[in-house]
Amino acid sequence: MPRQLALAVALREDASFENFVADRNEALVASLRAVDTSHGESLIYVWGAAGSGKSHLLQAVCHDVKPPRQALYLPLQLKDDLAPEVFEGLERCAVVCIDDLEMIAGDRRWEEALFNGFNRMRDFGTVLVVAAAGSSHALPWALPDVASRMTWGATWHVEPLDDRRKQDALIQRARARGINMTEPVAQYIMRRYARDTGSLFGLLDRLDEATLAEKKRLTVPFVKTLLDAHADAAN
Amino acid sequence: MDVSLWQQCLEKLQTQLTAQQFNTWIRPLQAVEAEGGIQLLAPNRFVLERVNDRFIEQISATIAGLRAGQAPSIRLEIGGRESAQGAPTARNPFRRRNDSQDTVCVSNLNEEFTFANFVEGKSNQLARAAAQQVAENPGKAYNPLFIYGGVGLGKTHLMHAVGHMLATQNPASKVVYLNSERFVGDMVKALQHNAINEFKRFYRSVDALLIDDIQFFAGKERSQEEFFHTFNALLEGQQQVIMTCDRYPKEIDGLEERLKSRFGWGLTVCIEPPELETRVAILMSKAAQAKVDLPNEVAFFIGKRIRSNVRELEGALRRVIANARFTHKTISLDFAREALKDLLALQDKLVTVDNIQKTVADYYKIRVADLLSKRRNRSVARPRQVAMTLSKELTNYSLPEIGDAFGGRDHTTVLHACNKIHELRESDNRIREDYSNLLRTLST
Repeated sequence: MPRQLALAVALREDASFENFVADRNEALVASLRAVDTSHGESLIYVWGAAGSGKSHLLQAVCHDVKPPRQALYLPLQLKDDLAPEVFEGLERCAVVCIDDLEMIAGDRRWEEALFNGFNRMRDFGTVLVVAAAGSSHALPWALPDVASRMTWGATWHVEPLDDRRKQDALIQRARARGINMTEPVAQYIMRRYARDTGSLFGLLDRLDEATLAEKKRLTVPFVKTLLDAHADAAN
Repeated sequence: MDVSLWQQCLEKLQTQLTAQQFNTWIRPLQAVEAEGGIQLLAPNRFVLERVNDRFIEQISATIAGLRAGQAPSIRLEIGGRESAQGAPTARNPFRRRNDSQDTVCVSNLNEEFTFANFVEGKSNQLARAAAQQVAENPGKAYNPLFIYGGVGLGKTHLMHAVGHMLATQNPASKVVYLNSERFVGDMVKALQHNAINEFKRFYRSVDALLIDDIQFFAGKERSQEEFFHTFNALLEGQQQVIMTCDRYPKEIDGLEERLKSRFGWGLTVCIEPPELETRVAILMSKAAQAKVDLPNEVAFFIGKRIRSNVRELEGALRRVIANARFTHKTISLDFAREALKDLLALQDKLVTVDNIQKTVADYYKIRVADLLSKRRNRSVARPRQVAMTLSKELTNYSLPEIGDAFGGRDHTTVLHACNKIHELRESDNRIREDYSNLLRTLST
C-alpha cells in the first residue's frame, strides 16, 4: 500500500526527528514522536514563525508512521493547485499532517471542507497534526466551528533556536549529509548569511551541490566565493 | 491480512467501473482478513445495500480471477477502519458501535459522550433535562428536540448521550447519528445513482435520527426538500428526531420557512457557555477520565482564563497533561501558564530593524538619524550598539544586512557591538536594565 495517497507530495528524506534540534521544544517533539503510538494525542496544533521547523516536524511525523498504516502530508501552500475536495477521504489515513493552515483561514469553501474532513477524521480515529503561522485565535476563521475545533487538541508554540543552536543544527544537518562542516565555516556562515533555519538549510543544499560539482572541500574561502557569487547575482 | 489481494482487486475494479461508481461505492470499502476469507466493511447500511445489490458479484468474480482455484469467501458487513487496521482504541475517541448481532444498528456513537460524563451546570441544565426526557420517552416527550448554542458547548455530547440510552434500553433499535454533511452526501450519491428510494427507505426506517450541525443545510435546497419529507415521515411514525444547530431555528439563513417552523414543533433548548464553577468541574472530570491528578488551583487557573467553550478548555487541559507526561514532571501552575501562553498568544511578533531603531531612539530620546549617522560619541554610540544587538537577537537578518541598515556599517562592527553589549550587561546595571526593558517592549 502506498505510504502517500493520491496527492503525491514528496516528503523530504532528511526531515526526521533524529536531525531536528529540539532545544526548548523537547516536550513538543516527544508528543509528536508519540503520534503513532497508543498514547498519542488525536489532534496536535503547532504554530510558530516561518523557518522555525514546523514543516520539518510534520514530515518527520509522517516518516515515523509504520506501514501499512498510512500517513499523508498536505501542505496548503499548494492551495492554488488544489481544491477543497482534497480533504475528502483523508479519514482513510492513520495520520494526516496539514501544513500552512493559515492559507485557508477566511475562505469559507475551504473551511467548510476542512470542517467536514475534520469530523470524518475524528469519527474514524485519524490522528491530525496541523501547523500554522499563528495560534488558532490568530487566524481569521470564517467558521467558528472550525476555529473551536482547532483548539480541541494540545496547542504548541515552536520556540525558535538561538544563534548558537542554529549553528549546531547546521553542522549536524551537514554531517547527516556526509559533509564535514567545521566550526569556523559554520561561524562564517552565521556571521554573513540570513540566520533563519530555512535559509541556512537552503544554503546547505547549494553548498552540497557546489562541493560535489567542483569536487572541493567545504572551506571558508569556498563558502565566501559562493556567497559573493550569490550576492552578485542578486544585485 | 491479505491486503495486497484487495489492492489488486481494487486496481481491476477501477478499470471496469466508472470513476464515479468506483469512488462512491467501492472506495469506501475496507478489507479485513476474516476466517477463511475476506471481510469487506462498508461505512453504512446504505453503501452496504448498494454494494450488495450491484457490485458484490463483480467483486467476487474479480477476486476469484486473481486467486484462481482458491478464491476466499467474501463477507460484506458494516464497520469502520479501526477494526480494519487494528488501531489502538485508547486513542480513538469516536469508536464505532459494532454490534455483530445486528450490523444494521451502526450509529457512530462516541462512547465517551454519555449522560454520566456530561457535567451539568446552570448553563446546560434545561437542555440536559430535556435530553433525558427524550431518552426515556423517545418519539413522545419532545419531538423533535432541537438543541442550539455556540460552538463547543456540548450539543453533540447530549445528542450522543440520548442515542446511547436509547440503544441500551432497546438494543434492537436503530439509532443513527450523522452530521448534516453526511445526509447531503448520501443524498447526492443516491440521486447520481438513481437510488433515491433506497435512500428514503433507509432514513425513514430508523427509530431515532440524530442530525448534527443542521446549519450546514443552509442554501442546499434539494437536501432541505428531502430532509423535509424524511422529517415529516419520522414525526408521523413517532420516531425520534434530534437536531443541533449553532443558532435558533428562525435565525438560520438560507433555510426554508416550512423547515424553520417545523423544527420548532417539539422542544427547542439552548446551551449557554458554562460559568466558572462548571468549567472547573468539567476540567476535573476530564482529568479524572484521563486518570490525571489535577490540582484544584490549576483547574481554577485554566477555568478562569478560558471562558469561550468546552472544546478549548479540553485543549488547554490536554496540553498541560502532555507537557507533564513528556517532561516527566507533575502538573503545576507554571505548566498551566505555559499551556495557555501557547494557546492564547496570537503569533510571533514580527520585529523589524526599523522598529528596533525607532524604539531604541525613543527610549534614549535621540533621533533615528543619530543611530544611522557616523557620530561616535558615547550618547549615540551606546544606543546604536544596543540597537544592533537587539537586531541580531530578534530578527533573522544577516549581520551584513544589519550593518547596512545602520548607515552602511561592516558586519564586524555589528559583531563588535554584540560582544560589547554582552560584556556590559554583565558589568553595568544600567545597560542590563535598558536592554531588558527594550527586549520586553519589542517582544510583547
